[in-house]
Amino acid sequence: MQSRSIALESEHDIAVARGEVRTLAAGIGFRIIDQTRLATVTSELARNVVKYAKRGRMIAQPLDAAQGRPGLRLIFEDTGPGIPDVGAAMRDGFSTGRGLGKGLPGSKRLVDVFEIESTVGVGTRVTIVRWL
Amino acid sequence: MADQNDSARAGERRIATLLATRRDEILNLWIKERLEADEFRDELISKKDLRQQSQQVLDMLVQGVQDSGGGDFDHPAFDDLRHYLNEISHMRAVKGYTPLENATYVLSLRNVVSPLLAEELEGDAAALVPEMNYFTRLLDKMGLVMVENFIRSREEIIRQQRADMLELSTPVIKVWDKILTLPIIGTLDSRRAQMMMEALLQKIVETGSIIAILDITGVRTMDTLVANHLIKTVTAARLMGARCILTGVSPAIAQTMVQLGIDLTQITTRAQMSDGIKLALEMIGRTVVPTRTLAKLQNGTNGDQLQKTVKQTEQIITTGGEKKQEG
Repeated sequence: MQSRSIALESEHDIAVARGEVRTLAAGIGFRIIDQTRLATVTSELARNVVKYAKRGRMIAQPLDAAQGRPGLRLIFEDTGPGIPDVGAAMRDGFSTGRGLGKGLPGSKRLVDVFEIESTVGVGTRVTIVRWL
Repeated sequence: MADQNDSARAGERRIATLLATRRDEILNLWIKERLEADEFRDELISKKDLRQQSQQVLDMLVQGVQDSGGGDFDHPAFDDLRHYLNEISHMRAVKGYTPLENATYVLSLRNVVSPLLAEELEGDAAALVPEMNYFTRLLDKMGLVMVENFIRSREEIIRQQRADMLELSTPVIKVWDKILTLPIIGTLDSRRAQMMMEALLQKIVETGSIIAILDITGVRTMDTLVANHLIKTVTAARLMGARCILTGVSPAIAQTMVQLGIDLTQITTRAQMSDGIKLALEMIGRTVVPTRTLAKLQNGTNGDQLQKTVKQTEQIITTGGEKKQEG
């Protein structure tokens, strides 16, 4: 399956990304619970992009056995302000935007691989993988 | 320079002549081309309408070329044509044409006219090129007008639908005296959540309700933002003296919420809407009792006649039982 790139600029784009991930996940063979997990993570991370960086994109890469293990990799990247303290942002209850402070740490608990690279003034890239 | 312009103008007049004198032939060829095209869908437009439309376009095109003296498409003489193309593409957007089908409609005229023009100007290659260029330029502009307006119409439709859905998607329903339900369906973004909260609080005041059942059976994804909105709604309702019951939490959403770390223990929850309604009735001191049991109860305590019992039962049902009476 091919990877897909979706521009993230508005609330509507978040819904589109979520729908796309759900469709891809179902196609790969993920169960409903995992589809919901992936859609939820997409919602959280895509919203972070739109909320903090205004725009960015999501790249969805279905992984098959040829690449080691079947699953779905999602990359969320932006050239926004970046996260000054990634460690703090990953702690439960920490939020700079009046949210619940569960978005990043919660997302991490929903997936198998969670990598975050962020440089202030340059941007942020979050890569997640859920294995089938 | 002057020479070039003159020869171009002479050519442009000839295309107008060609379009005018051989209009019916061109029209027939054009329609034939459209009907045979892969993307033609006869469920969207009747042959008669297509013919009428295409004839109108051709007539207006000829008129424009003549009145503008072979001018470009932005010349005011093409205003009528431009308006008419806008109309057509709007109609097509409403009917569900694709942007490609829409643009191809106008552009396909080139395939029809080019051979005729070449035929007409046989042996006069010097005239053919500028004339062909002029005609192509016109068609390109016409195609752009079609596409631009098509997209604008589509966006307008989408905006309208979104507004309609926002209205529709926050119905607050009074199911019983003092009990409201709010079925939440689809995506809950900040705007919808805000509207939902407003509608609920308003209805609580209007009906003097003390219980609100929020049903999320129709919500596929519950992220922290949606959860946050729900918590805020529940808190606001509580300030208005109403308690909320959350129903319709699917197994997938329940697990996801636990992993996300969202704490909803402060909110009373029930698996299904019907359980929520039952709980709500209990909270206002009502219960659902099968009619027969009720009749027996009445008989046993009062020893009254069946006739009277039935009457009382009916009265109880209409004033304080439940709609569905099962035996």
